[in-house]
Amino acid sequence: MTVTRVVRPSDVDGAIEVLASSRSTAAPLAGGVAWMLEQARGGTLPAVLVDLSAIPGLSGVERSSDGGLTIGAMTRLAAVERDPLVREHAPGLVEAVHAVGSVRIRQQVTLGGNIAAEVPRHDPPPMLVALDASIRVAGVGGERETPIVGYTRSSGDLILDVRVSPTAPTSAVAYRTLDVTVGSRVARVGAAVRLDRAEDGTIGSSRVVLMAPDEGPHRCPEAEAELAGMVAEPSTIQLAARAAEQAVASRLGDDHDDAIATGIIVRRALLVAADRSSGVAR
Amino acid sequence: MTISDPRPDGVDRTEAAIAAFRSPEARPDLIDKVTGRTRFVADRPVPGALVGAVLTSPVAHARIRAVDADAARRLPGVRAVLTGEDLRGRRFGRRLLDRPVLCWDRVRFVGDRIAAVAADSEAIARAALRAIRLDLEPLPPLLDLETADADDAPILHPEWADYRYLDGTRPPVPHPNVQGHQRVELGVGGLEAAFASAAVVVEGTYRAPRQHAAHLEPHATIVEPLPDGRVRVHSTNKAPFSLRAQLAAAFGDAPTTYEIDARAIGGDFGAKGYSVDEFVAVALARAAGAPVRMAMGIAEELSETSVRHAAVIHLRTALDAEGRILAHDANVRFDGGAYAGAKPIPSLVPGGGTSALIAYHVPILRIDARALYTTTVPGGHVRAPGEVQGVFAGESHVDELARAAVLDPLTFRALNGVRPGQTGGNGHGFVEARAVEVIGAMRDHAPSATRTPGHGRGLAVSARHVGVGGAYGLTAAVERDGTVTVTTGLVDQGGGVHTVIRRVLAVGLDVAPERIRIRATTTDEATPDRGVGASRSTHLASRAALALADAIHEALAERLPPDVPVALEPATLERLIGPTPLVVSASYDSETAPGARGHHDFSGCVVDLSVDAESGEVRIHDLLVVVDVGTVINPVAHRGQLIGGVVFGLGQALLEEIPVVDGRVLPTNLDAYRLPRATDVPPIRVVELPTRIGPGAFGAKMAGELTNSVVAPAIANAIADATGVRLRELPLTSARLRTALRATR
Repeated sequence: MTVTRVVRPSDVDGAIEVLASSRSTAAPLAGGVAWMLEQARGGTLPAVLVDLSAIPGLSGVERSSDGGLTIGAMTRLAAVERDPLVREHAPGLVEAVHAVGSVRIRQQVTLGGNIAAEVPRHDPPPMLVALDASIRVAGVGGERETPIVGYTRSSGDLILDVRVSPTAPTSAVAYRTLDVTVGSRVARVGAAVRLDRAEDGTIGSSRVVLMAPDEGPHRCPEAEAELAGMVAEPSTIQLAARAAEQAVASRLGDDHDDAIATGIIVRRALLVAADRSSGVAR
Repeated sequence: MTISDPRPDGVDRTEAAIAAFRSPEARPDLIDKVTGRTRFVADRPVPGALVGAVLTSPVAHARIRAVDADAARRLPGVRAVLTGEDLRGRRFGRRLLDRPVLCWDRVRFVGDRIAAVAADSEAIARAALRAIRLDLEPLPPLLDLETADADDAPILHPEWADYRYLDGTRPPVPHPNVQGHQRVELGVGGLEAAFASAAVVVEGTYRAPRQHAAHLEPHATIVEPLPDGRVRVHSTNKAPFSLRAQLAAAFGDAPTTYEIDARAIGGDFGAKGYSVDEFVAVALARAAGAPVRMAMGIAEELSETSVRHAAVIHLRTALDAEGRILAHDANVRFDGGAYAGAKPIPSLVPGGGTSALIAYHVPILRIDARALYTTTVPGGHVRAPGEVQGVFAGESHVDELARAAVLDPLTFRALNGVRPGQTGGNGHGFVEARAVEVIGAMRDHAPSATRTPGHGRGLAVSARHVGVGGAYGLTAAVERDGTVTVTTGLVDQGGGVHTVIRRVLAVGLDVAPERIRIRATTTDEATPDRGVGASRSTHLASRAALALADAIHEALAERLPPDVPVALEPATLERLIGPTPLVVSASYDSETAPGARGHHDFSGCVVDLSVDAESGEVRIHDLLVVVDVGTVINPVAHRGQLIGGVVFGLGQALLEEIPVVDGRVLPTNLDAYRLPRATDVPPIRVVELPTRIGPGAFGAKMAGELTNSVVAPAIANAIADATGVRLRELPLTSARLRTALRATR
């Protein structure tokens, strides 16, 4: 018989101690939404949940000396969405956070929990990848900072905060999603994109990050390759979108709705980003 | 029929009533509900209550070889364990008692109950369930209507002929796999000749999925055995007297054995008339000799209670050269799931199955509507049962007819709309047929659209009956200071019935509504009724309130000298009423009241939208509903029902579907069963066409199930107008439209 015990440490070290000592049977409890969903699915909860709500300093948004934003892991998505610093310096994140659930869900879900749950269909992680965000993680070996792309939480880890560089005036981002139904499955695909304009007006670098129902957020190098060194005009964007569609199709098959939908949203997101890019900097 | 509703002394109060009804009134439970003070059933503290839990079938159809619960019984903290063997022969249902409280010989859907435990905690209860060993022998499932309807389909309920049927005799069925069968025939001798001579014949098959009522408060119950051997059942059931009768029928005891307390319900939308846990909780509480609490989660709501019936509807219609309907032939198949017991309707077929062309005159008519047993979650009643499916099919079909007749959709509808004195497409007449007025208002109020690529307009017209059923009784205690306390067993599940009672009684007594308090009570004290719902609550409650006002008036007049006018003022009342209040009861019986039957509300919807041809996404620019309404008793509640109905309809049209794969309901939560959010709601305009002809007090009709059925066909028709693509299956998701649009390229 498993009975979940909830402990409420008052500092990070206390939390790490429980998470590390109990190892795979303990996990953090932030907003709790992922655990509620897990229960509703008939899954079992870990033996110990480490409630982070009594640990001071884990929520809120600050601007660090290098101009970047530090967003506490326990900051609710609704607070991220409303935060004036985030709105000014990372508008793409506002867009991706706004795509999550309903107002009530965003009042409950935390940014750290949304990342830690590692559910492929979550919206903020792909945008954080597009923004080259990193996370600060505490563990038994101390604190470390790691890029968000490719991060997988190991059992003793606790995400402390998310670090986002301010979006440069020469950069523009966008996030778009679309509902997909394949067979009887209802789901969503998403695309987070970033275009960095070089001095000559072409695309210097780009990020095309895909959110798929069955795969964690990942960059799409095929689409990014189509954009490099090109002018952000519709024909280029169409090629990039087609590359993204084919990348998904090569995994799932031609005419798979996820692939078709991915092509559509990559194109839409890139068009919006290109429009924003020209609006900001010229 | 003109409604005047004079007072017993002859004074006409209709104008005064209609004037008084103009000021909106918040529902009495508003503040408690929005501040979280309301104690819903699951929140009620009952000392010593055990946690009840059930073990459900993991397969769609199987014979039960053995259930070994010995290990579960030995677990510390387990107070009772029941298997089907303990409750052999105990079946329940709202009309037909066909669902076992616990299955003993066979399971018929994923979610069917096999064993139950009562334990000190939820964790112990879950552990006990895991300790129960099942030996099931798989049987061939009946997962869809085509399989279930086949002549050689295995019989799912071999004992079907012995099932009890409450309040009457079960109508005959052509096959044991048919739950209910409804036929409407009008001049069918000429049917084939009409089709043979027709200028235009159109036929099509339309499909609607299972959908959920999506009330946010889950079903919950607490069953308390009382010292005198009786049982108190706290329940979320909106028809407590019906639940009482069902419990008595299932367990073979007297209805008065049970006291049902259902005084706070958090959302209904049709699903709170059906209870499941109450039955097994009664058995557990009796076995354990202690109270038992059970509350469902969303997963259980979606997979174990009941859902809107999936339907396959085949329609065939013949037109003459001018585009007039000559004959209509409908074959309607509802997926009734494993049990018919979730349906209260006598025919055991969702009523809307005959509503496809209700708003049109059809001279020759044949409708064959059936609900079939399958090995899936039972079909039940959700807001406008059967109509969402039937009207989607019918009004999509009407647009296809208009196109074939080369008439624009509005002209076709105006030409065929049912006129006063004619029968409608369901074979019945109307007290007041307002189809043509509604269609005219749709024309007058539709936006003057500028046609742009991807833009489309769609229409739909329908009608729904004002409900009739049983009697409502109310009791008032009139105090000498002029306050009146009305005791009722009617539950306000959100439909506003308590406000209706208060406002009509206030008008009837010529006092301010603040003087009247509504006191909800249990079945031990209240006058029996059939509960709220079925579009009858306003009709019956307003009439019962007016009858109560008249009875109070008469009781006071009897006590006063003939020259003293009746007035509910302290100066008068102090002469008549002592420290004990004057108690007066009255009731209204809709079965026998003259003029109660045959009333309908007509409705129309005009949707202007655009379609993104690449993604299939639909954007609604304007949604107009035109509604035929009787006297409005509380404008804010009435408008809330109309607009809420539209939003409900948007979910049914665009988003909601419960897929069942291999017999298993897929969504386990509302993240995979999307409902409309505030941000999904387009601009909605409501145009009311008032009438004073209605069966309720001062001509009141109904509103709750009026607007949700017309939304889906109007959107489907607008999509067809915008893209040329006809979607004949709900929901009209962007993915489905995207795929259909790609297929045309």
